[in-house]
Amino acid sequence: MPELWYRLGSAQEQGILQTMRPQHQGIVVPAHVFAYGRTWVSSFLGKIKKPFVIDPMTYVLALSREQITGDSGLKKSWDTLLGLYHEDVLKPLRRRPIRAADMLGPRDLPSELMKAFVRRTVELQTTILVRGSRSQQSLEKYRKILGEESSEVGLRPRAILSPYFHFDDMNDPWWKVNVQLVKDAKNLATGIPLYAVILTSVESLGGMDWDIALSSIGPVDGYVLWISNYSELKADIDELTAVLRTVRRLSSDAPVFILYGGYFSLSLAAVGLTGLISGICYGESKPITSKTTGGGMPQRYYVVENKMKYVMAEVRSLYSDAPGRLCGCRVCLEIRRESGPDRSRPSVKSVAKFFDQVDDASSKRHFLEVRSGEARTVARMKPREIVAALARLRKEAGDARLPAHGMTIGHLERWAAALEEA
Amino acid sequence: MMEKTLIRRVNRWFTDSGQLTCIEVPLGSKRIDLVSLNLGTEAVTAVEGKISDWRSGLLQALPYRLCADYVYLAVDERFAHRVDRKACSRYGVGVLAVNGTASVSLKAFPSKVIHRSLHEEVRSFVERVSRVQSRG
Repeated sequence: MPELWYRLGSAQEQGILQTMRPQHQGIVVPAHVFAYGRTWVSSFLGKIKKPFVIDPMTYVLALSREQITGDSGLKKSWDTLLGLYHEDVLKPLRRRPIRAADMLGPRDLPSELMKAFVRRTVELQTTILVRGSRSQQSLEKYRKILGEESSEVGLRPRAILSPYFHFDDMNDPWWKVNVQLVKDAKNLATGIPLYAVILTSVESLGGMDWDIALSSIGPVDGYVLWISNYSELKADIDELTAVLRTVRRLSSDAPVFILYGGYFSLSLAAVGLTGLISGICYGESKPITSKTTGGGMPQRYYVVENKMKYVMAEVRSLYSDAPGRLCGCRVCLEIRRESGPDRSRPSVKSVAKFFDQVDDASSKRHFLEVRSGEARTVARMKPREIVAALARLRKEAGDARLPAHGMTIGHLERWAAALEEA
Repeated sequence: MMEKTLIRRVNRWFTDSGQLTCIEVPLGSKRIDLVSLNLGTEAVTAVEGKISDWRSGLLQALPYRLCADYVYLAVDERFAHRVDRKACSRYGVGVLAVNGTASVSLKAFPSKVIHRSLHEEVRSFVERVSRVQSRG
C-alpha cells in the first residue's frame, strides 16, 4: 500500500494526526516549524510514536528573502532556524540569497561554505532539533532521577533528507550542487538512511537522462520528488506521463516519495511509488516561490467524486442538490449520527444539519479517512483497473452535476489517459 | 456600466421598495454582492451582479440558495438576452435586467435548499449592519 505521510503545518494539526493515527504512516516536519516549536513538536512526535523526517527546507535560501520575511522582518520561525547554523554559514546566508557559485569552487570542488552547510543541515536532523529544548533536557534529567521513562527526547528520524535546491536541468549549476550535497550528506549520515530530494520543474522532467543523473548521485536509500510549478489537477497528459515515467525510473532504483501530490500521485503506486507527502487537505501542489508559511486558509472539504477540495458553501450547495451523495466515510457517518437520526435517504435538511457540524478539524479527519481508503484501494488495483475506475468516477461526477456547480472533472480523463501508459 | 454601478442600481431598486439591504455579505469564505431583507415577510433575497458573464454569475450564485429565499442574477440589460433562462430556472435562480434601474426578467423561485443556520446568519447580518448604518 502506498504510504501516506503528512506535513505538520501547525500545532492545531497535532490532535487530528493523533486521532487519525491509523490513517497515516508518517510525519514530515519542516525544519523551520521544528526549530520554532521545538517543545511542542518533539513532545508530539514522542507521543504519536510514528516515523518522521525533517524537511531541511534549504531551497528557500536560494530564493528572494521575501519568501521568509514578513512585515516586521525575517519570520520568527526562519530566524530561529537560521540561528541554529554556525556563523560561518550564517553570515553569507543573512546577506543575500545563496548562489550555486557559493557552493562549488574551482573544478566543481565543494567550497568551505558548502561543507559547513551540509554538515550543519545533517546535524540539525540527527541531533540538534531532535534532542529537544534545554528545558526538555533538564526535565528529562529529573525524570531519570525519578526513574520515569520518557520518549520525548532523543527522537530519531526515519531518514535524513539531503539539503536541496531547485534545478532546471542537468546543465544548471544547481544540478551539480545538488549532486554534491547528496554525496556529502551521505558521508555524514552514518547509520541512518539518506534520501535524496529532487526538486525540479515539470518541463524539465522530459529532458532528464535519469540513467546519467542517478549514476552521478550514486546509491541512496530513497528519493523525495518535488515537482514545482506542477499541479496534477491542471497538468496536461504529456506532463502527467513525464511524472509517471520519472517515478517508474526512480523507483527501479530506490523507494520514491512524491512531495506535494494528490490522487494521481497516489495512483502512481501502480508504477512503483512508495509514498505520498502532502498537507492535511492542502498542499497537493506547491511552486517553490510560494511563501513557506501561510495560515488563514478557508475551511475546505474533500469531494470524493472528483478528488478535489472546495470551500464549504460550494460543497453544501452541491450536496443539497443531491443529498443522496453525502459522504458515507466513517468520519462523516459519525457526524451524521450525532447531527440527528441518520435516515437512509438524506434530505436537504439532513445535509444542512450535517454541514453545521462539520468544522475544520472534522473536514480534515474526513480527508484523512477517505485518502487512507483510496490508498488501500489503489494498492489492490492493476493500472488498467485504476484507468477503468477513473472513467467510472468521471461518469459519476458528471451524473452528480459537478460541472454545473463549477467543479471540474476533466482532470479525471487526463489522469486515466496518462495511466494508460502504465 | 461597471459591476459596482450595476449593484448600486439594484440596491436602490430594493431600498426604494422599502427593503433593508447590505452589500458584500459574508457567506463562509464567500461574499454575496447584495442581500435584501423584506421586513414584512422576512424573506431574504441574494443577488450576484455580472455585466455580461452570466455563466460565472450563475455558478457563483448557486451557493446563495443555501441562505436566501430568492436568488437573482443581475446583468446589464444589453446582455440579458444572452442568459440561458433554462439553466437559471433549473436552480430557481431569477434574472434582473439592469439599466437605469432594475427589472425582473425572470422570476426567481423560492429556494428548495435552504440551510436554516446560514439563512439566519445572513438575515441577522443584514439587520445588524442596516441598524448600524441607520444610526450613522
